[in-house]
Parts: sequence; C-alpha cells; structure tokens
Amino acid sequence: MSADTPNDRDLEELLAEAAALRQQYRVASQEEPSVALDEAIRAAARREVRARPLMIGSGFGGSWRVPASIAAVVVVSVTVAVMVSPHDPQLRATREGPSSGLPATVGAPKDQAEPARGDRTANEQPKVDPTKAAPQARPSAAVPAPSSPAPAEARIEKSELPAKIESPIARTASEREELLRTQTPAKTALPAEAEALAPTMAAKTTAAPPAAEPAAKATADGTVSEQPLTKKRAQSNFAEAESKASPWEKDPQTWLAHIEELRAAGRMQDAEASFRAFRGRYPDYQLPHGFVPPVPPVSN
Amino acid sequence: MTSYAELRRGDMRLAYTPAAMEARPSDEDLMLRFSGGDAAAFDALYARHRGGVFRYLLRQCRNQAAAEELFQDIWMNLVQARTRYRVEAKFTTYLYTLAHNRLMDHFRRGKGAELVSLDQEGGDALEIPGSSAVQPERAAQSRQQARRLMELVAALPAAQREVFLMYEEGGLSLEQIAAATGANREAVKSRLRYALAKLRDGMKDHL
Repeated sequence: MSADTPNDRDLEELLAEAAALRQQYRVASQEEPSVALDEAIRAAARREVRARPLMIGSGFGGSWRVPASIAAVVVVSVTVAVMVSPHDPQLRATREGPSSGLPATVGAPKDQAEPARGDRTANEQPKVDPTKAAPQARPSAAVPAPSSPAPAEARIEKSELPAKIESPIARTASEREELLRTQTPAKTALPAEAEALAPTMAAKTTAAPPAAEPAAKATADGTVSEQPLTKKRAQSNFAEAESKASPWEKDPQTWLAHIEELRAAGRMQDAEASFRAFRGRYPDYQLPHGFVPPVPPVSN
Repeated sequence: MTSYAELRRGDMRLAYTPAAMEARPSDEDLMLRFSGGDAAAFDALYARHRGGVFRYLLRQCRNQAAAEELFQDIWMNLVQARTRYRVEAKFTTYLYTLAHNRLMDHFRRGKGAELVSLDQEGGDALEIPGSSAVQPERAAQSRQQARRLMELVAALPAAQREVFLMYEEGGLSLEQIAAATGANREAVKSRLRYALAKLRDGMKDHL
C-alpha cells in the first residue's frame, strides 16, 4: 500500500478529518445476512468438500503421473539396453563364445590385426572349466595354421596341459599309477638292450635290493647312447616314478591288498587304475583265488 | 503524518494489525485449506467477510432480496471455484472482484441506469440530498445521524459509493480497489476523495 506517498497526503488529511464520520458510519452500518442464508452457504460448502474431499494432489493430475513415470523409466531402460548391447565388442564376443571367433584367430592377417582379442580369449580360458574348454579348443587345432604360431595354438596348450599333465595337484596315486602304465611299453621295449648290458649291470642288479631294481634299469637305459631322446626322457620319468613308488607297489600281494582297500573304500577308478598298473608291472602274476579284478567301466 | 494503516487501526471489524495477522491465519491460508478440503476453514473465512460483502451489495443495489441473492451467488461461486484458487493477490481482492462482477451482471440485466452511473466520474448524476431535504423528527440524535449518513451514502454516485464501500466495508487499499473494479489507482483515489467530501458536507450539521 502506497499511502505514504506525497501524492496521497491530501487524501490522508481528508481521511483524518472524516474520522468521526467514518466512525459514525461503522456504528450505523450493522446489517447482516440472515441466519438461513448463512446456513445455506455453509451447507453448500460442506457438500462441496464432501463431494470432492481432496483436490490437491489427487484427481487426474495425481493419478497418471506415477504410472507414466514408471512406464517411461522402463521404456528408456529397455531401449538403452537394446541399443548398447549389439555395439559392445566385449558383450558380443562373450555372447558368441570363443569357438565362433576361431577363424579370425587362425588366419594370420586377422590374427595379427586383432591380437587383443586372442590374448583376451587366452586369458579368459583358465576361468572356464577345463573339461569343457578342451573340446572347444580342439577344433582350432584341426585347422591348419602353418605360417605362424597362432594364438589359438597357445590357447590349446593353456587349456589342455594343466588339466592333463602339468598340474601338480593331479599327482595322486592314481595319476602316478597311470603314468607308470603309460611308461611300461617303453620299459618292455628295452629287454634286448638291457640284456646286452646285463653283464655290466648284473652285479648291481643282484646286489641291489628289490626296490632299487627299477632305478638300476633306468640308469642302464640312460647309458645307452643310441636311445632316442624321447625314450630317454620316458625312462627318466619312469625312474622317478619308480623311486617315488609306494610301498605296496614293491610286493604283488601287498599291491593286491591295496587294490582291495581302494575298492572297499569306493574308489573304483583308483582301484582300476592301480590294477592296470599292477598288470603292467606283473603281467604274468597269478592272481590269488578269490581276488576279483576291478571291472573297468564300459566305454564307447 | 497519519497513514492509511494508522487510520484503520481504529476499525475493530477489520483488525488488520500485524499482531492480529500473526495471531490468526490469513485469508489466503484459510482459502487454501478450504481448497484442500477443510470445511472449517471456509466457516472462518465466511465469518470474517460475510458482513462486509453483504453490506457492500445492500448499499449498491438498495434491495434486501436482491442483495441476498447476489450474496449467495458470490459465495457459491467461490465455493465451486475453490480448486482453481491460487494465491496471486490478497483474498479480499479476489472476493470483492467476484462481488463487483456479479453486481455488474445484475445491473446489466435490469438496471441500466445504475450501470451508467458506475461509469460516471463526476458524481453529479445522482442528486445528493441536502440537509434541508431531510428533517428528522425522531428523538434519538444518533439514530437520526445514522439514517442521514446512510442516505448520504445511498445518494453517492455508484462509482464513488463502490470505492467508499470497498474501502470501509472490505478494508481494501486503493490498489486493491483498483484491481477489483478494473480502474486505475488515481481514479479510485479521486472517487474516494469525492465521496468523503460529499459525506462530510452532508453531515456537517450533525457532527
């Protein structure tokens, strides 16, 4: 209110002079609406409130906003997910799997052009179950890639070797027995050479205790210069396996008793592997009456 | 120097002092509460302004029945328009704007002379009854003075009377009256000055 402006001074003076008049008017002006009219208006207001109790935040303005917001968020989220996923190379490579990317890794030019993908696949390979990863990697080995050492080959080595041979954890008794069994043909292929060297080694062979006999044979094998390198290595592995052989492997009866223990313990595969190793060591040993050889699982 | 606010402090019906404003909710708060569904807020709001609006209408149309009809229409319009209410001005401005518009509709329908008189600025359209024209014979001096004053108010030109009534009954400022009536502030001020001058001249023998 701008009553204090200079232009209103004359009006203010007039209002001051008319103060008694205005007071007299207030005393005289006392008319009021009738009580019936008051009640009618108040009743109408109450009816209006009851008919539409909450107008603020309700009604159409409040009912559609929340569902519309939720729908908008869902639509935007799905749209972004659909638009982003096909263009992300990492997601695409993960979705297609490592086998689908093999042709790109086998070919030399593409292999050199995309080293990161091959490296990433090789690095991701140990995370996969080795028993499942090996079959996936084998087809790449069948693809000829003579020009360059493709990363696919490196992937094969990393995926197969730890599961089969190189893992030190896998060196259980059955593993050792399996190793012994595989090396047995090398041992059996040497009798002629061993007989040729028999005069020189006879003293050691007879003087050595029974447990030292395989080691003496391995030593004799190592002295043969004509022996192929791989055969030498096999013989040295056989010597190591023999030196680390368990006590029950020294005596056939003790060995058979150990096989019975394995079978009684439910370790059928170990029992079978041990029996095969036993047969490799003692092919002509007459099994005692009542000893039932472990039945190998039927395989196709 | 006396301001409008200081002059109005003597009016106990308005009681627009700062302390009174803090002690009770404002008209705007009550109207918002009513918009939100509080019927009690409307009762309080109605109690504050029922007399002023009614007297404004009664003085303007000079007919009890017509004033009551207009009065009910105005409040019903306010009730039905509660959801669209926004605090863009003082509630009294909003209320007396409704009253002014409804009154104009009333004049357009049946009283063209009143409508013409509202458009006049000079205030000479209606003859102000002189003191010689009214010879009160009643004993009570105060009653004679009151009657005389009401006659003087009724004799004011409609535009001047409307400004005077809004100022006294509604407690509106010059700006609020200008907003409610659609006139400019200087015109409202001029009308108020004329009205006060005529009333004082008419009552100079009784004061």
